[in-house]
Amino acid sequence: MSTQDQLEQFVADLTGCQDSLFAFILSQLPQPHQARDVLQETNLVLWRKREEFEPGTNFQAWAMSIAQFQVRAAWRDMRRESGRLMFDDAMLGVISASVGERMDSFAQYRDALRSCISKLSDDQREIIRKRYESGGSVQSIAQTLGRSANAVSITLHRVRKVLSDCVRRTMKGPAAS
Amino acid sequence: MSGSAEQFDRALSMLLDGALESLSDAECAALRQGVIDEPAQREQFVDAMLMQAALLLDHAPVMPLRLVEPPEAEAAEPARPAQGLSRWIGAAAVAASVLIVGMLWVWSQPANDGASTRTEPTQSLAVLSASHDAKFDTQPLTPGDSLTSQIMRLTQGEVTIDYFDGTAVTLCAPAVYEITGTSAGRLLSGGMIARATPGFAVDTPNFTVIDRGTRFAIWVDESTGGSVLVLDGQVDVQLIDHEKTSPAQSLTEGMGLSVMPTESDASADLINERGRFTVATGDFATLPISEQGRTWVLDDQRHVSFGDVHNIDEANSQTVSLWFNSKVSGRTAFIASKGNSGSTDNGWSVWLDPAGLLMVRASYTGATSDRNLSLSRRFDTADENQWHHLVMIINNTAGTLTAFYDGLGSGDGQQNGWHIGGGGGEVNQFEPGSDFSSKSPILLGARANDMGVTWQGRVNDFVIFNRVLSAREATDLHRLGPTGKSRFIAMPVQLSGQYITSNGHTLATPHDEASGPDANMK
Repeated sequence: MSTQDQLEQFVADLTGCQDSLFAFILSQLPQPHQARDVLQETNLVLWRKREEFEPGTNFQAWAMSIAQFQVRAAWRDMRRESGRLMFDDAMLGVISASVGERMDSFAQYRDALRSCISKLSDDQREIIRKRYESGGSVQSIAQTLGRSANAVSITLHRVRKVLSDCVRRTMKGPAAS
Repeated sequence: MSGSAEQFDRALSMLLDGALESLSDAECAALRQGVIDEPAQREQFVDAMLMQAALLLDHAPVMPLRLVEPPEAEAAEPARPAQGLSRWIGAAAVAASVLIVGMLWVWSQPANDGASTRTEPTQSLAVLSASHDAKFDTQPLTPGDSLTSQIMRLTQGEVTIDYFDGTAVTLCAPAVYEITGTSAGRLLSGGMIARATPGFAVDTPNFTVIDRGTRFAIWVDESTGGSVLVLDGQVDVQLIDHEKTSPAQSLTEGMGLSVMPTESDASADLINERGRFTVATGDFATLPISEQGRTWVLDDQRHVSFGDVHNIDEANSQTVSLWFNSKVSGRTAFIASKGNSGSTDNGWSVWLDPAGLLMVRASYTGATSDRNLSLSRRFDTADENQWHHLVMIINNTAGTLTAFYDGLGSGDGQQNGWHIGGGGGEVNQFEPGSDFSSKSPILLGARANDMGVTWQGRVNDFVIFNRVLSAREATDLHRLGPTGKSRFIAMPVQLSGQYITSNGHTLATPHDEASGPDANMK
């Protein structure tokens, strides 16, 4: 493969794994804006290290191993700033291993989730939209709806449970039938 | 369900609701233990986080690298290898590589040495990453929106802008801010805090701040000048003057600089198109900022009322911050409160008790519970006649009461000299979404129900934030010092106080209250 072909492939691999990388990072760094920061940093590191990637090997696994370093560095920074230990290296290691195993089926998972969202009631879909589309906090949603933050939190919890059960059924569907 | 399993569920829900920083140490520990030791809880966690990611990706696909082509003039220059690559990639990978092109273009820019890097107006330079009750007087912006070279007029709330160079700028309303380059901005009015990468530069009407890898805050007022405070690291400040002879001033952590209008030509340090200004440089604690940090002088006959405003209802959390200098200790004396005259009365209070304690207390009405909250710590004669800083945080999402005394947080309730309970309070955790509303006014220096148990001393920079401040923000409030610097951390709510007597009559400003922000701070 020519150098140009390799670069084209690298670009395609990197752009193609952005969503999976984001999910991998977010699972260990739950604040979306921090996860996006780390994704950006990871992309830069991947680009700078592009010559270290061996074509033909698993690009996503390589990218996730580099993302893992960035996630741990981010937590170290946060620990230094806040003095609190929230996610330690042992926990991050367990999560990354578990999430890594699920990444190959992440696209299928998202299809199932979209299907399940379409089955929600209008109210349920609306509260999910408010929470995730506009980045609304539970408190701001509560103010909009004229409900307590606790009530909104409970509703979101229930909707996520409905979606989780639905996704599980959907993904097991062919085997079950 | 076991206690730890309940804690795990609660912690996971809070995490999914965006309340990560509100997790208690015990909840963090339950989360860690569940993920590491319990396969079922690990699967639950992974399921939840994958769903969170998928929902975010489908509802707000805002990958911050979604940039556009570099400007033509830049791309045409043949010298830099990275630009050659970016041009090639732009041609080769079409839509998919738009992301990489932008990344490479940003990456290939020379380090900013202070001059703002002007860009094409359509180039995406940053993303709006967070918003809290924000309103703009132009187009609405929401988290995830891509930002180009543009002016933003924030009329309410706070927003965070993530530049693609790694800098994060938080704006506090009212503020007018312009993104002027890949690593540059212009603050025309209002306040901002930057966690910047080296070389990031901010222009203001009177000075330019060039970051050297740090965290700093700037406040600009169109009529009264501006100030910069360094929270961490180092910045260089270049004054903008006609003569262009002012040397750059280097400020390190704990230092600040103010540029204020002056009426005396002879003492003017800076002359620019906006007039004559004096320049004051000092540390956080001594630098005068504005009239906002008013000192209230309180005694047996003189209290301050702000009226029945800013209640904490089911949907609100709140942070109260004040500097106080007490002439007394070892007796009951109410420093600040909204209701909560007794331990079972709704509201919150900060007061001294006869046992030589400083009490932070609150009471609420919950859907299924109604307990009295309090935290306490020593406060005796050794603490009198000195300025101390207190922060009280009622987190109605996490259900926690926390406090900070001179930057030392109560943590789980038993840290840094703090204890749970006292003054009729029993706990520091409550049912989230509870109602702390009270019909009593916000008061300084007396108890609401009888205007009794008065307090003697001074209060400065009494502010309320309608959100939970992080531990870092709470300690930064202490580090910044008084005299109106709280707004460098977050935008407080509007408060309008007036002196009153114990009979509720309005008083004029007392003779012993000198004018100026720090006149009574000595």
